[in-house]
Amino acid sequence: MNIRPARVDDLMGMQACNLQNLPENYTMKYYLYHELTWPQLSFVAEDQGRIVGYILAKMEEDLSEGDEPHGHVTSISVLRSHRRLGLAKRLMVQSQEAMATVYRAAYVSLHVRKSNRAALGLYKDTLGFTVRDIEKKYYADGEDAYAMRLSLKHLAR
Amino acid sequence: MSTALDRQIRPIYDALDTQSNKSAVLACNKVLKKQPNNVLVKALKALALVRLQKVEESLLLADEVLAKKPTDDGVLTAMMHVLRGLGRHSDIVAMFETAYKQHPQNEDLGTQTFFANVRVGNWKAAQQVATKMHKQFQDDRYLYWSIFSAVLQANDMATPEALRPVLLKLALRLISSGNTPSYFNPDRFYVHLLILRELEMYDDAATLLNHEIGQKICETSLVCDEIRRDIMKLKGACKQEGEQAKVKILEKKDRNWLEFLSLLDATFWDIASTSEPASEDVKAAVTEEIAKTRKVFSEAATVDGLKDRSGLLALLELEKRTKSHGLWTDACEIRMMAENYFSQFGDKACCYEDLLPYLAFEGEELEQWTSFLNSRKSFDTPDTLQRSINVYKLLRYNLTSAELTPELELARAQEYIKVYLDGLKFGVNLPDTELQPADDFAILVGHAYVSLWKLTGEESHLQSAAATLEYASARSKQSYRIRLLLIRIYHLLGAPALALDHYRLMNVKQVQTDTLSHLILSRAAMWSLAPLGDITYMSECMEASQIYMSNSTEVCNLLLILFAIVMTNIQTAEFIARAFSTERYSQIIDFIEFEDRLDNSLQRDLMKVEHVRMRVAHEPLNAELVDMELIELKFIFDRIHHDNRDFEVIPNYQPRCQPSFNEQTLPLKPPGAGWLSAYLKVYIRAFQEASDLDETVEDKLLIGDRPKPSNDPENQLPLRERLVKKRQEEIDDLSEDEKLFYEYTLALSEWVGPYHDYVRPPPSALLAEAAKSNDLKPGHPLKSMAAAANGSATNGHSKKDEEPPAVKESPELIPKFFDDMKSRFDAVISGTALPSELLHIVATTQEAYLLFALETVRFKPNSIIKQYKFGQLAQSFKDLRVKASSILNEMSTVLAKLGEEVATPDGRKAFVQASSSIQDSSGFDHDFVLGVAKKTTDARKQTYEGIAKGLAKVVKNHS
Repeated sequence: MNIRPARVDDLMGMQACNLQNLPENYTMKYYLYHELTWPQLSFVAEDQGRIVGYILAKMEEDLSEGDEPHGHVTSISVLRSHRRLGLAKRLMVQSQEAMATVYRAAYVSLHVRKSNRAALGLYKDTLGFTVRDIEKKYYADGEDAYAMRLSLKHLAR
Repeated sequence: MSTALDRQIRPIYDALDTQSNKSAVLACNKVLKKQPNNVLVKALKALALVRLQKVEESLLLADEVLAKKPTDDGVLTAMMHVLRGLGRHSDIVAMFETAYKQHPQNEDLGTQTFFANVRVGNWKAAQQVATKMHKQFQDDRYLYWSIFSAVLQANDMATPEALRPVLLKLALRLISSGNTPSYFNPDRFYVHLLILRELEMYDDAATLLNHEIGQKICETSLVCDEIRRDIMKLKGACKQEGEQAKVKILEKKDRNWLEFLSLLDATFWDIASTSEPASEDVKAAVTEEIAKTRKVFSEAATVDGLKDRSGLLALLELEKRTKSHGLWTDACEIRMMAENYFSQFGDKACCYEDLLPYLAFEGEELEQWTSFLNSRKSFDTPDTLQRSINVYKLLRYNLTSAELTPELELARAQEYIKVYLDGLKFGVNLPDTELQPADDFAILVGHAYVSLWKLTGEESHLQSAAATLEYASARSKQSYRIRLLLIRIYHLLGAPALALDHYRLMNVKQVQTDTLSHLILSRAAMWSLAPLGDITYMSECMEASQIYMSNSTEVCNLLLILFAIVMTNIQTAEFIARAFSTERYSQIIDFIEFEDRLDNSLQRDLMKVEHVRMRVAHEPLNAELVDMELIELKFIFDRIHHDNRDFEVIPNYQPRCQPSFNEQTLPLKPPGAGWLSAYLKVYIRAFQEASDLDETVEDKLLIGDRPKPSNDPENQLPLRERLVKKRQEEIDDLSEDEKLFYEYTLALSEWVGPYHDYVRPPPSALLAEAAKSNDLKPGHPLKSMAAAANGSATNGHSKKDEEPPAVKESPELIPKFFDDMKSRFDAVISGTALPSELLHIVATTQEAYLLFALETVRFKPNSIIKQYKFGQLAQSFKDLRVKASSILNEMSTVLAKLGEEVATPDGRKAFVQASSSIQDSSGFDHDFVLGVAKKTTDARKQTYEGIAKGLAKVVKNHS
């Protein structure tokens, strides 16, 4: 297993992770845009040459007044065959570190489906995120999302 | 610009901005009335026109503007969009070059010229522009633009082999001419290393890398570190790398698998690096190294425990390599380690794939391993369920052919069903978005039934597989793996509509269409009901092709951003510098590679050919179709393709002595580059003969750039010669029926070709007609073939001096082909072949008939027959057509009857009875199986009847 920054040509492999994990896929352009704009924030997990997980992250672009610069996890996904190996955590920690050190992000935010108990457990219990808000009908199929947040102040250098 | 003029021009921009192109044209005309020579307004009008698809008018204006050699920013920008709309990228380059020449001190024009060249991949010119800019503006970034352009030129397919080192040496010289050393930033350092690697100057590279700054850069820059690894390996410094890796693993707790591989490579270096047999001394030394490495890995494994599996996996790999190098190791060592691994990580889903490379056990080892696994079955908790799934998969993997009897496989299928149904209890309360933990047991059921079908040839097993998997799919809606199996099985069962349903439910989009659309679009023409006007598969092709269109412009734009960022990198604020200081040049390479993989995707052009095959069945065979497809297929013909199709995604848990599930369930060998080449030749030949466009005409009428010619010597031959050349690679890729078809098409065009050449109007006549026709759009078909076909063909048909070619009898191969296909059909009908095979035969015969129609449409009008004394030829055509028609009609009748039989209550009952084995095991009630049976039989009926009607229609349309 090997975690490394994502590259443009990983796109095809990354999309394979999305077959079941992300009903709402982003356009190719959106991936490339991340890759181009914040190349340090996205990572892939590679096992025997195959991409088995990835995190796609960015810095928030439209900061509302008084808001501190912060990162946002656009999507994170691990193949079912490689669950429960602590991969998501490792991907997340890598990305958070880059957010804090490269961009001085004060915190990181993300959205999660209300029904996604496994992910909720990971964010809350393992990574220490807290729920800030509920966004009604955030997903295309009408499901609500929790808006979650984690401070990165401890990582600031 | 004067205020008055500004006031007049503003409305034009406003109209263009809001896409009100018609009012933009009006606004332009208003200004042009007073100032007929205003270049900017002309350019803007050309832009509005091209957006309105008035290509011809836009073209005229554009040429006028270009002739004025514009240098004004507004004109250049407008023209860039006009020319892009016309597909004339090389004219954009020329325009900026001309402008830059007039104002060599204008940095912006230089940059634009450079970018224009980048856009078309014209690296040589880009390099020259950048060099000029570097001299003029004395900025190192332009030096690196020029260096990197030279590197890209060296990498370009079109660059001759001998020129490559010259370019790289030039680049290297340029680096040393810079004001700052390359490690000024990681990107430049990367470029430097890249050049040294390509030139095989490993020692020089190592000197740079061992320098303090070089080491620092590699610690923080991934791409530099990657290339460092690569260079060290090429340099043969494996042992040194191994030592470093050891330190990283033990002291820094680095669990990057690449470090483990480095240490493994170093351990075996003395044996693996030479081809000579190792002496005893060497063997002893390596054995000692192995012991040391084993200690390192064991330590890592002990420290990590359940936290990381790298240590244990590395130990397995170490034993495997030891054995493969013929060094002494205890026979049971690998098995013990596998057992150890299983004990620790057996409840992880990845365990099965982790262990596969190490499990080729035989004899006693296999017995022990099997009994070890058998003792680990348990179904008490979700964790032990996952462990049991691994047990079942691992047991299945090592089954021997003696154990694969129909009886035993059936017993296994039933056991898998039982544990599957039992395992469902762990997922009762899961929401719809979650997968069932027991899914993989259902997938195993599918595998067992497919294997049963392979063993016995009985279709009923496929039906049982379909029923079970449908059941599982309904309970685990997000499981794309279950759907993948169903897609394959439904195709085999002749129910493509159901396969398509599952494919659509997988929600494949974006880049996935490139990697996965093969699931439903491989040889899709054989399922298509296009002759009846059902364009489902045609639209599926079009939709899937969308990504290539949008991608091209997308990647191009991003490429430009990359260069631009490099530019801002050094100048703008610290923040951006920090954000963008890594990986720029390497990203440019990545982008170019990515674009190449998509642009020249094999699947993309396979879909194009499928679309053409269906279009020919769907539409009248007129000039519009023929000319347009001819041009498009010729564009594709020279591409060197990348196969991005993903077959690995299809689960495989078949025993290692059997082919994979993917291989077992392919109706035919998947079409590859050879197949594509064969079919491109078939259709280009046929279109070329049917068309009035010859190369000179095409050149004159086609606007926009041609694809870059590739360097392959084969491609230098004249097109006509290449089209009739059969290559072994092509033949190998075709099915038996397709081989016959390929021969048939060759014989057909060889026979009919000379008559076409004689009757085809001369280029001069065509061009004259094209000039006359006002609404003719460039790149669009000529009307002349339609004119020829409807009999008013005297226009453009000059009297020929030579006599028409003597009429020859049809080659024997042509009628024989239809006879052969008829007997193939009869044989399959009376046997137990699958629907997919039957439909393949039918589709191939229909395609042959359509090509015959395509090749003879020119000779249909009585006036042509009379004028060229082709009476005898017409008679031969007629005889053949009658013969082929009657065979197609017969096939149609038989298929229609089969369709009726299939969907009767009796037919369904047969299906349900066939699936009786899955009903025995409780849980699947009669009604559920009946439901699946009804769906499957209805879908098959729909296909059979549709194709039967389609055949009749094709015959009627072209009789």
